[in-house]
Amino acid sequence: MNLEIKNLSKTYPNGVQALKNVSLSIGKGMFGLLGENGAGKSTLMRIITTLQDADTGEVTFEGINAASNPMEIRKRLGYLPQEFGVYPSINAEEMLLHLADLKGIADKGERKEQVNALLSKVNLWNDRKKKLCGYSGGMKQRFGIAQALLGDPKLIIVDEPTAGLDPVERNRFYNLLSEIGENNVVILSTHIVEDVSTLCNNMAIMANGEVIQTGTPAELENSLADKLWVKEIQKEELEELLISHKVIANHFHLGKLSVTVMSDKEPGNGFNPKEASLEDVYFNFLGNIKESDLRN
Amino acid sequence: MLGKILPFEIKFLHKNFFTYLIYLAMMFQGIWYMKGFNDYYKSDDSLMNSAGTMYILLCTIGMILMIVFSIITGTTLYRDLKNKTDQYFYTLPVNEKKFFMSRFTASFVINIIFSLVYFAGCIISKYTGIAPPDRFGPTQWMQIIHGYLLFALPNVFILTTAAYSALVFFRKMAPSYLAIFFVSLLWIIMEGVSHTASDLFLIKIIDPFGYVYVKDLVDAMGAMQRNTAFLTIDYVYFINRFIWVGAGILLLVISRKKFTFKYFFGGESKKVKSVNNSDSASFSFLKQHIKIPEVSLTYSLKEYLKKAARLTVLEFKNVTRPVSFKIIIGIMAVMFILYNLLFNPTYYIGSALPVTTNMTLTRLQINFMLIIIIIIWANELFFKEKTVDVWQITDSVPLPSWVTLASKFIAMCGVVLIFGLTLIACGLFAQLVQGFTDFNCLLYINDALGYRWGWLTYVLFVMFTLFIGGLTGRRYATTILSVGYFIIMIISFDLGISEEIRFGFGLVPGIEGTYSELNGYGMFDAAAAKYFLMWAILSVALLIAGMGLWARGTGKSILKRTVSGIRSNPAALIIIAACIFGFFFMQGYIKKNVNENRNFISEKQTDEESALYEKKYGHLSELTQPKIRHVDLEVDLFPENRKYVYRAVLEVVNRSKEKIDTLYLNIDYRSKVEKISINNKALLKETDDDILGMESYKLTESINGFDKAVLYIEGSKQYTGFSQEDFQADLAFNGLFIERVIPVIGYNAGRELTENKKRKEHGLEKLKSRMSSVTDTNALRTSYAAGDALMVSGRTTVSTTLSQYAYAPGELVKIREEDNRNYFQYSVSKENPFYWHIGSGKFKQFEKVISGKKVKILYDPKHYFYIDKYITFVSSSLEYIERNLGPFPHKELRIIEIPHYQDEFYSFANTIAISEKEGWYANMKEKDVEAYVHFCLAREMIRQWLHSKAGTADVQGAEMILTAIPEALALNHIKNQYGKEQLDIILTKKRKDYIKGRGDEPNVQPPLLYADGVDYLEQNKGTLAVFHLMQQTGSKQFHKLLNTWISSSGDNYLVFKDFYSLLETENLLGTDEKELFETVQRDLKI
Repeated sequence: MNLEIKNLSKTYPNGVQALKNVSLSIGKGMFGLLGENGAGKSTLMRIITTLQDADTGEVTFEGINAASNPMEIRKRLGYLPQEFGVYPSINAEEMLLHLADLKGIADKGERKEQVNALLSKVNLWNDRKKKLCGYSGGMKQRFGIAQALLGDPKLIIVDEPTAGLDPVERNRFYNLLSEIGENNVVILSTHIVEDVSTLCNNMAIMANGEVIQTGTPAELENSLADKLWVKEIQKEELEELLISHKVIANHFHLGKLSVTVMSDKEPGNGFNPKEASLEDVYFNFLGNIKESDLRN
Repeated sequence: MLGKILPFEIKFLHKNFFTYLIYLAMMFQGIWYMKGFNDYYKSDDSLMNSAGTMYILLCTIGMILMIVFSIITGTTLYRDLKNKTDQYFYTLPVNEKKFFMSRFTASFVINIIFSLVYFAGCIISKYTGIAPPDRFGPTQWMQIIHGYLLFALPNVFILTTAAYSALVFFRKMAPSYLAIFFVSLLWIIMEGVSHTASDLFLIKIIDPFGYVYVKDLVDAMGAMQRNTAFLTIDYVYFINRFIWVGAGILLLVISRKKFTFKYFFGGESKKVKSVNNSDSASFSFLKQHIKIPEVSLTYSLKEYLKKAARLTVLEFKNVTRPVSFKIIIGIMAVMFILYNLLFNPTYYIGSALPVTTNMTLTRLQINFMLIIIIIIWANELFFKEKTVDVWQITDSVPLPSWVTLASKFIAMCGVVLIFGLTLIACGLFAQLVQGFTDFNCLLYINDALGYRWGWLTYVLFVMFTLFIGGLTGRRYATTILSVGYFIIMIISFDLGISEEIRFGFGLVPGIEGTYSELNGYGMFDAAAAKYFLMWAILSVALLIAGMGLWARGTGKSILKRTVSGIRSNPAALIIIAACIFGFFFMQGYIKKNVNENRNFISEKQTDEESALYEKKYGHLSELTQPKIRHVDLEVDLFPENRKYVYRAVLEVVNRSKEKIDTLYLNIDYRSKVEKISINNKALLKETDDDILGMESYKLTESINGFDKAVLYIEGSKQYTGFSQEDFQADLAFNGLFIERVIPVIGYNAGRELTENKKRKEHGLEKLKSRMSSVTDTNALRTSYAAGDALMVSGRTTVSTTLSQYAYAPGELVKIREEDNRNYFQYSVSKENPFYWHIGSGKFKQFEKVISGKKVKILYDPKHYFYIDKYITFVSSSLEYIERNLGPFPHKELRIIEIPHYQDEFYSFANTIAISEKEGWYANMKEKDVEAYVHFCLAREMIRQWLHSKAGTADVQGAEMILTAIPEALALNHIKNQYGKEQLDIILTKKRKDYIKGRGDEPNVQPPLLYADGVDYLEQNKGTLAVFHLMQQTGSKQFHKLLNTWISSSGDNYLVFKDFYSLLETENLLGTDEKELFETVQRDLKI
């Protein structure tokens, strides 16, 4: 069970190059695709889900080519888009039954059984008879994951699934995704580092339509081992630090500005060593790209 | 507030590329409508950009503009809901009422801008080369401004308020579209009804645009007046505007009151019940103990088909379940019922019985808007997933597109079936309410569910929409293209810009005005089936192509979709190719049958041929040709084959001193002369002009001056193929009526173009009069009935199929059955004008002897309603004639029902043929209707008397003798029978018809004394004038003078001027009467 993405490129009619020669190999388990908004993640998701064509390159899953045999890919696919609507006048149960039918669950009993189980699983059982137009953002997202799981998909793609969810809902979502990721290929596309660091055993970082790094979160974190230093500073000091050090990130903590810098040696001047997080890795890569862009 | 919102909205509008496309479309509509008006007014003095035309255009706004209004009007307000900008716009510190009014005003101003572009298109049309420059006059700026302020501006306001208020009440765009649709529909219905209604007052009031009112006024103007005049408005205008502008203001006030940010944002009146977030305290979103059961997935063709069936039911319910659908069906039903009760069964005066034909006609009035709604509806269903943004989920399911699309298509077929069934239910209801139970179920099914603008037509347009949807992959583009095509197509045909039905998607021959109670759809049945087959084949291709091209996902070009469609399903490509081949084959087949067989000739070509006929053969009018004076005719009718054969022995005479060497016969394209001889000597064909229909034969022996001869002609006529609009009534399957079997001898002046505008276009001299002058000695010696015949006697034997009854002029001598055919022999012993009409049909007979005269009524068995009344009318009219004019000339009289294809009435020896629409199912429970039908029958019986007395000369005033005088006498009879009240109803109608008709006079209206045979003149003003004269003179003296004049004519043909001179001699003409007959009065003072 493997998803192979080879040399995928896509340029939109307005000239924006959304994907530049992207190649990835994704096996069973949770795979995180991390990138800023506009990095090309959604385009990649849509090409994998057969909703869009690439200009060049190919996507295969279990040896099936997505472009030439989209129907076979769809038979194995569960997809939760970044944004999606619902038929406003029908309820969650009706909609799921309808989608189950479309996905190929021909037996009425099986359809009903799986829909009921999924409704319970995503805790919508009590609201299954209520019209979808009255659902909150979180409920709609749970409905979305339920529909993505219909028909026992082997390839599950969730695009920005936690956007708009409150912390409690996000936590629940993580649990559910990690469960379904045990036996399937699950691609989690997100710009939230925590999503990936919490769930994924493999990941890639995308920027400007390119895959700039792949590996496990641990590997990526290790790449910055003993190189990160942290210090609390006054706001006025930041400008000077930006010139004198390679500042990876800065953020306020308890009202004080905390700055992370990268350096092979201890920068001194009150900096303390810091254990690298995935967020640091991510910020470091983004910083490198911006620097490179500026140089170019 | 307005100062901030209005400039922003206008700027916002012009950021959109489509705005400029709409401007172009508006310009196009203006130019295109002006072109359509080119032939609307027949007079060559009528300018295309006359003030009258502009007034009419200023009322209607135009269908494209109405669609534009419906799409854009509500957007200034709805945009915030759609784009979710309401969340911050509605929290701004602004006065919400002022905000609402400013947005409304912005929409109103935008609509005004679009309407001005449309009118600019009308104004610049004269520079676009759509017609010769002399067809245009100076732009009547003041009249245009006048019309704009009186009609266009209020109409824009009415439409804007309708759309805006619907949006405020329902918080959705769809009701906003529908509000404009329904206002427009009301206008379309009123416009349709105005053609047949006897009283226009109510219709003028109900018409939301004031169109019927303006049209009525403009139609009544003379050409010169129409070119420049300001419209003079009266109280009807003010009532109409008071109601409609008042309704607009009222809606605006209510909407303004209702609109608050809180209401519009959340919809106070109908809150969506929000659901609790189900966040249980137990924190149990992920219920680990719940295992998702495994399922089996099936992807077989059988399963797809079953799935399509399930989805069809689901989609059907989704469309029909909402209250909005039920409201629309409800409104449609109310319209159908009201239409069927109030408007459809209209007769010349009063109402008709609600026969099924009248009930199903309703669809024609409503279908224009209905099909637009169907296209939009179908489009919404096809793009449902895109609209609610669930497409990413549904497009990625492992289900072929055709399954979902087919289910939507079939569901739409079911939805539109509801429309057809609603029409049937409403028709049946309207009939039952009126106590009428003679339902024609087959006709209901045929009309409401068939392909004559019924259910199958709707289905074709659903297929068409699916194809456009597949092609564009975009909802809005599909709506604009599909609806745009439909509107342009219909209006092009309506305005006469297009004539060939085979080029109009979904159109079949025989939709409007072709159904005959006697003959059904006749030949059009076969024709329509062929056309439908052609469209059905094309539609199958469109359906398959639409499904194949359907854009799944995003950003896939049409080329890619085509390639992938072909790759994934080559069989579909083969079917599409086969269908396209079939379509073009059918196009060719239809072209051969319709065009190449000359079953359809465009108006332009008809005019060209008429002009050519005059140019090529006009000189023959001076050439002496023999005249018929005795006929011995045998005709065998084969209605089922649309064929007749005849053998005619004609006694002819040369009435001049010049000898006749060549015989000219008018033989139309479908007729053949098999044998021809004079005095048993065969003639040699010299020339044969197949297209213009003229053959010449060299006589082996000349007919010398004043000699007699016997002309023998054996020939036949048969229609082959089918027509798209020609009824081919002379050989109908049932109720055939042949005006003349024998070819016309010599030059046929009846084929000349009589409208000066057309004559000018074709390089012919303008006519000073459409008939010969009363001083033309040659014309004075020519019979008005037929230029190639004198007063004629003779015998006719006519045979027809066993199931039919045939008739011909004269007394019935014998009926016999032979070789499974019925033979009827008729004899005209006393000479009559040469009206030698022959017919046949499946009739029911009623016979009664009245005052020694055998009266036989032959009628459609379905029309048994008032046969007793006809007998009463004959009896009373007979009594009037015999008391006042002298003995009725015949011992036998037949009254026969004929299809409506021909003229309304024919009167010829012993026979009166009456169109099925003239009384047979008129509602004679109403006194005025009864009086009118009685009047018509009395007039025809007086014509019978007149024909037996003398012929009429083919000069000016002929119709005064044959129409005005019999009508005046019949009116006198009606006055005696029914009193002044009923008489006044008929007089008023005639007055109105004259005023309306003279406005459309193509040439110059002549004084009555020189009336030259135009419908509106003799039978309206002529009748009124002669009746007035009769009242002034006293009916007794008038009858006496009439008899004196006719008796004194001897062998000469009657000339109306002679009768007028007689009245003058008797000092019966005062100044008013002289003015009435000798001048063209502006105001009809009688």
